Amino acid sequence: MPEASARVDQGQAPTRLSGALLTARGLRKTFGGVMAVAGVDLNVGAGETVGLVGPNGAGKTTLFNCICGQVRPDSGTVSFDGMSLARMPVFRRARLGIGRTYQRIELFPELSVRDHLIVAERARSGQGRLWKDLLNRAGPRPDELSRVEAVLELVGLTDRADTSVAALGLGTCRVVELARALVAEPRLLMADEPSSGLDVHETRQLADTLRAVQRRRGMAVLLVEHDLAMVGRVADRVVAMDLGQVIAEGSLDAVMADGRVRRAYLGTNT
Amino acid sequence: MEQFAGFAIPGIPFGCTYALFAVGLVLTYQATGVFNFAYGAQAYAAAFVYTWATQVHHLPAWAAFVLTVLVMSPVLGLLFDRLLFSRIPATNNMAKIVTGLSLFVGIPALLPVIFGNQNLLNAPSVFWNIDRVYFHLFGTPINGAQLAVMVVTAFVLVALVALLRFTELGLQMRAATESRRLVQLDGINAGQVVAVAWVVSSVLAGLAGVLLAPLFAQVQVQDYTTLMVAAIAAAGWAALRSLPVAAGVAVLVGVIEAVFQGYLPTSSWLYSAVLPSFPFIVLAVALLVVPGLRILDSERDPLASVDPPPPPSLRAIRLPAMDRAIRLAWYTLLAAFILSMLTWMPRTWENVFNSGLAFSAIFLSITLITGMGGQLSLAQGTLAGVGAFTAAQLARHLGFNLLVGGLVGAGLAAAVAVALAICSLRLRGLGLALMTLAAALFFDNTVFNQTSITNGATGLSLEPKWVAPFGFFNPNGHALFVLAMVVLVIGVVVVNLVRKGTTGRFLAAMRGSEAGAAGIGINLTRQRLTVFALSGALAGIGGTVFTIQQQVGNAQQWSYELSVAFVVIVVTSGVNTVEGAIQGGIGFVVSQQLLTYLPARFGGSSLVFVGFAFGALTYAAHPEGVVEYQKARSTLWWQKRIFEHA
Repeated sequence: MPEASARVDQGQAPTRLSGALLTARGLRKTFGGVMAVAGVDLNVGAGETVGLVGPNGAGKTTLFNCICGQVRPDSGTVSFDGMSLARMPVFRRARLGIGRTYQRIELFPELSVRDHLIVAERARSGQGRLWKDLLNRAGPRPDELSRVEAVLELVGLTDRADTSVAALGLGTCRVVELARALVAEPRLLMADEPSSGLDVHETRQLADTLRAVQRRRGMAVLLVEHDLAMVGRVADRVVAMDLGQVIAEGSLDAVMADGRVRRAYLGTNT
Repeated sequence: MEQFAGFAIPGIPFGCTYALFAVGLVLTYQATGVFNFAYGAQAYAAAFVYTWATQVHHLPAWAAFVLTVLVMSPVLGLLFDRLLFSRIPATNNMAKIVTGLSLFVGIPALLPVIFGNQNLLNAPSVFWNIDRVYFHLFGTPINGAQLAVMVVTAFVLVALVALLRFTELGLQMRAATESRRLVQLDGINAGQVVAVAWVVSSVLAGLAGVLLAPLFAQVQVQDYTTLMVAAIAAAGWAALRSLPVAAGVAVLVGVIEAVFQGYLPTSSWLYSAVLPSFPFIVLAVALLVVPGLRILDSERDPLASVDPPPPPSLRAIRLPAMDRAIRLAWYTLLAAFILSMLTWMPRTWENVFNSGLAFSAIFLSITLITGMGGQLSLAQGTLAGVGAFTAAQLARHLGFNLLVGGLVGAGLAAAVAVALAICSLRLRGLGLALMTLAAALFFDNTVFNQTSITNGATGLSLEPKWVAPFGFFNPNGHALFVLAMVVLVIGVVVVNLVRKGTTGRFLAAMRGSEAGAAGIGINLTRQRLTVFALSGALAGIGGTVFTIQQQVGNAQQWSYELSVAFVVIVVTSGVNTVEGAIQGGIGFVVSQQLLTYLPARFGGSSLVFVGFAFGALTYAAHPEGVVEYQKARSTLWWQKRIFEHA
């Protein structure tokens, strides 16, 4: 496991770790009377894959959204590579190197698979000046196309590159989302329930792809997932949440053996 | 204090008229999930038929009341639901807005087509005598019509709150708004529940229309739409949720207006400019500060995720060979058109086509902002007016050539559009539509009514020296055609380059998923500002060309009603393509000209608006525009016969 680790719990001071890529401290978010995230501390080290598990309503996606900037936390801090992300808009966080996929597919139905990647590549680099459009100089450059083709090949979408995503199945759409995030060469990939809606075979393929890419790129991955088999295949370390709080952390086996986790999932210690 | 009460009390009956509309709007939204832009038009229709029945056919007031409020209005509501809104998926907010706007444009235009042009004066009061003062409130006399409005408003408010909060039907209505399909799964006939909601809301609209008719000397649609704005403002402060808050704010708006009217000197600028725009300011502030209005369009149907993806557009399944053939046909048509305009085209028709080209340029701005940007702006006509009046005023006061002034006007229109975009950064869909509508109304009532800007009702007559050395006003030349054509071609090229370029791709991404677009690093704010600025500039330059063609610029050319009608026209002809904008522009003026050959009995230009409004009603089924859809169908038919047989 990479050097970065984390902790975590109510009342316990978080371990200060060197090399942590993502650090969240005391994140808190309420929706009306519901405490969705209740003072969560979380670290993800560079190149580390962390699985975030927990029953429905545990606050995983809200925590994700707080980190990505799609939801503003009531209190707490998030820093990425030592830089505070406070009040930083979503697109700037993305350009810093935080990529993500979504629990519910968030693709662009009018675009082809290749266009998704070109758009992501341009967005990452902050390119796309209007004057270039007006001078008809906005066509994809060779270096852009080669990066896009490389990612398409990496995730096995080359033969579907010109297909509109509206014509693709859910499993392929999830891979397109992954490819779209990868083309921006993120240092941290946040995947929110990537196996949701997929069958066992598709889930395994996705997990293998994710693991392969993570190893090749050396990026960090924060994975929210209900499919514990997938978490086991991909994650170096697992963090369990319930009712907005982190309740356990460690290897998958250790976490699943934890009494609090069993109680959260099953309502019993046994 | 006595003076204050003397000014404030007369505002209460006015406030109650706003309240009657406001509670109707909130009820419709709460019970059907639709913001009914046509609510004022429904009320106007009831008032129109009520006055027509009593004044033209001399029906007793009670019989006309039964006919309009208890028969016509519920049938209208039922038709709206069955034929239109029940066919729109709960999450397709754009289709709901466009359908409401189509009815807003179509209903008032349809009435003269059915009943003929009528001057409907002095509608009788249905409950109490309008000429009799029943009592004094702090010294203010209250007549029968005012009494009726106040009593009915209070009764309606109590009845509706009771219906929604304490009855099973009210609970079912609220649930059906979230998801008709989910309610069906609980064994409830959701279609029936929503239909009842539409009937109740339409009866309320009819009731409001008939009650208010005696308050105006003549039944005119403008009075009802102005009331609607104050009502929308009040409903906005209630976040379209709370009936009592909506009613309370509405009464407050009426009272504040009355107090301002009392205290402000009639000669002051505040009286003439700011007071008429007060309801729009209230609405704009509500849109800025009421958090509930920012999430109006957030998806509510939990079963939306099981919907199948939309079918591909027919254009998408066209063969490349067919695309080439169509392109060739377009170029041939264009060459024939240019040749005709420069040679044999009669003057009348050359003028018609010139104005059509100018409209096409303005409509291209809607292609940009709505078709490509996914943002519904109801102020494009206003922005065209900003461009046109700027150019005319620069020519008048500083001696600028109108073409140079047009460019400055385009810049100013772009700046206004950007300011509007900045004010609307947190708004989407319905919220943005309302904000742009408020802006259009603000300009109508505060800017375009200033004599120093538009020269009053006569307008600004353009002088030939303002366009020298070009002979745009020469009736025997074609310079104006060349100008209009050049502007349109530049507009088409700009729109196509933007679509093809990175900006177009980013906008397509934004339309698909704002969360996804932001998540990959697209700066949504920048894209919105860009598309607003571009569309504002295009509208501004198009407005200048239209004013040059008309040789006069006046406020009526750029009223908010026309701004809304422009959207309806472009939605019908095709909002996603440049062909759609051109079809809309040319189709609009050509059909108006053709109707001049028909007897006035057929309603004249009203019929044009009716036609386009009916076309836009199909938006839910054909978001690409019904004209574009039919074109695509026919080209596929030809494709099968020409290419697939071969």
